[in-house]
Amino acid sequence: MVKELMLTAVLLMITVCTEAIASDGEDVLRPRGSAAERHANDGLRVSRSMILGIEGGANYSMFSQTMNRTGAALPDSPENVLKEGAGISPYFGLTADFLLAKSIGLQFRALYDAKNVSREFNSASDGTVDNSFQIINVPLVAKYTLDMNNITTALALRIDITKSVFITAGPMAQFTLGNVTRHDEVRIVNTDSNYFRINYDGIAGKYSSIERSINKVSKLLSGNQYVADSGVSYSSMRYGLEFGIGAKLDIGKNLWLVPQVRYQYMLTPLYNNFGAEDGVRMLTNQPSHIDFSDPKLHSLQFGAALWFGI
Amino acid sequence: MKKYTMFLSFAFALFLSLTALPLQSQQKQIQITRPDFNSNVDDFGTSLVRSGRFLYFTSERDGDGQRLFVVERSSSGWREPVMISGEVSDGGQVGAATLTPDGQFMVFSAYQHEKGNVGRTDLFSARRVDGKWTDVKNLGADVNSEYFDSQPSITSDGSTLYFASDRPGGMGGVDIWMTTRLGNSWTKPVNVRSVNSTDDDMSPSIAADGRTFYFASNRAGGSGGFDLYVVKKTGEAYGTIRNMGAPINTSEDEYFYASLQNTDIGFFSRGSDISNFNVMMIVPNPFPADPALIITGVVSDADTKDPLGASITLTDLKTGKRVADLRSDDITGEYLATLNSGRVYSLTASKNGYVFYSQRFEVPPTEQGTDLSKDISLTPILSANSKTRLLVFFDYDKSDLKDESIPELERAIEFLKDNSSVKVSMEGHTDDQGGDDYNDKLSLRRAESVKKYLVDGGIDASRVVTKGIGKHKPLVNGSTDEARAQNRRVEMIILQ
Repeated sequence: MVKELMLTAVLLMITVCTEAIASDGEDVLRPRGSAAERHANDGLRVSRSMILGIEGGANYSMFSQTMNRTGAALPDSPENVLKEGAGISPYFGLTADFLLAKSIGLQFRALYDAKNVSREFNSASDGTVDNSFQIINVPLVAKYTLDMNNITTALALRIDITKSVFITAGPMAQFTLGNVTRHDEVRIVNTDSNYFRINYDGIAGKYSSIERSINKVSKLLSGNQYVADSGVSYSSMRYGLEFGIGAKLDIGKNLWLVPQVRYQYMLTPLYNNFGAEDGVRMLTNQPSHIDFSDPKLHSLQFGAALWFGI
Repeated sequence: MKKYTMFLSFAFALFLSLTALPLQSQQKQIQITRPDFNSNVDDFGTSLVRSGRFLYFTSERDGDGQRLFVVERSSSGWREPVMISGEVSDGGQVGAATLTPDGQFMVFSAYQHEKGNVGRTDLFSARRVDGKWTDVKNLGADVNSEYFDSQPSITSDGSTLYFASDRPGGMGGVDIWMTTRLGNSWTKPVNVRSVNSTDDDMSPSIAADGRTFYFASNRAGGSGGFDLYVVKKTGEAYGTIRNMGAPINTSEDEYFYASLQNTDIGFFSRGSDISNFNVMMIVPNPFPADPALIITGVVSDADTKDPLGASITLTDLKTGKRVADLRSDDITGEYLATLNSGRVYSLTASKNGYVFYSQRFEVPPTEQGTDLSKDISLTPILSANSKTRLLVFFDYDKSDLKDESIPELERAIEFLKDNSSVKVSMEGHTDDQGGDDYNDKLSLRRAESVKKYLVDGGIDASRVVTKGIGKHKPLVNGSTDEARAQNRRVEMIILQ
């Protein structure tokens, strides 16, 4: 969370600095630095009744969920990689802005909005020496990636806080397109003498790493529908709130460049709660039961838009 | 003691009845409305031309910063505003314009104009030619500074320009400054200290009467933000500054008061940090300008009757001072000027290819607040009957040129120099007093006086012939002093 706040602060500073450079705040009514200009700049004077925009940028997505264990704690279990994750992915789409009052507008947004998170986690597992009952500790690297493609729609209120800087806030809905894919991989650190005897498909062999991909099928625009698969059901439509800040910079007649930052705070869990057994330390510990709950995938969007006045 | 108390009570009640009733009546009548040409973005500043038929204002509706718009008022209401396109709009922010009442000359403000800025926001001028605004010029470093110079207001005769500036040398913040026209240039601006305060004083507006002065200020004692103030000036002296008060001034910002001359209509702009600026109309105008005489007319071709864009000069014949240099509209031929009553004026119209036209007229002191119409027909030089009556004046039984004739004779010299192939005949006339033979000779002497002035002015004597018509062709019949004065004249006939 601290990392998220720092990133937001940096982007905010960039935005405000850009605004300060781009606007010197003088027009035929309000001289720069006068009481009139200071008064006027309490609110942005948006000059079109409607704006259409194209925008694009990158998501910095942040995934987290709660893992409650019953039994052994197992702090170095490979399963713990699933506790959180982060990643960068693209988004692009269209925005329409309707002027409601001097410094207030209503924005409609539709985005192609990819999400991608991943994580690597240094872990360990119990193992046995070939042809003996000697138990050894095997260091592992566990990794997963989660990919999903969405259509995100948002309805946001825009409030201008200076001549060029505005903030936005409002509800949003995210519809998943096609599959949600999670790719799991567990890799042995010291592969000179250690190997997996069996892979995820149950085929015996000597493997330095094992991996699998799980596709969770969701239906677009099907409502809050869950599709069960291996105990995990992803929601195909999720609700959330978005909060943003941007700067409107004149670059031509009826044309503005709009750098902006938005935070997507999701209210709907990514999937349902489920449980799983963790047996990686069965030789030295009791089996551990994990209850996975409250999976959230929030995102920080930073990008730029071209706005066209109509 | 009892009687004394009763008397006081009665007097107090009488005072209330005398003061409260008119105030109550006034407040009921005043209506402030938002004309429907306003948009949902900033619209402000008002310059009224052609007796309020056209209203110029500044708007951000184009989406490309502030731009000048004009809206026409028809019998059915306000038409759709039209942006002043072309070179006027070639700037980052353009607006806050002032126009002469005839709508032919404009001074406007622009930030980062393509014609080049002396400072941040500068003042520019433009002329209306063939229905379009052109000839955009920066008023130059004599007027503009490296600071904010904006919100001009020009007197109806185009001779004096007021504007707002935050340049050094003022009384604090933004001040109102004044410059006067000197030929084709402007004098160094002076601070209008009589109205400025240590706070911001902006949007000056001089009414067409030349006496009523409006401005906005955020000085202490107002209703909040910028308030509107009014002051009457006599010459260079300013009277008592009055805050316009409610219902005009509110906790919002009020700027740009404008009074439509000889009507009960006013306009101003109102806005705040939470609402857009709008042009507001107020009826009746509680702070009207003093009545003035407005002269209007149409200049046309005497043969084809087509409207003409011509130069028009109005001269106060008593002082010899030009009170207005105008240009009739190239498309409609219309002209308009504001005059003072109780004066004698000459009205002259000229245009290349035409014989100039001059007329003398008197405005009685009782004519204030009315309109005077004088249409003008200009005769093409090559027309068969092209002639003009020169406004040269003679005393009875004299052939000496009076001083008030000099501007007209200078125009004749200029005309003959501009049309070097033209030859003219100067025909002298007398009034009905005296014998024919004497008047024939007197009229010839008058024509010769005119010829001598022209020759002394550089015109070849061979181009001017003279005739004495005597009293045989009076301009007006009658034996009044006025009729006789009009008949003592010289007419210029174009020979070839």
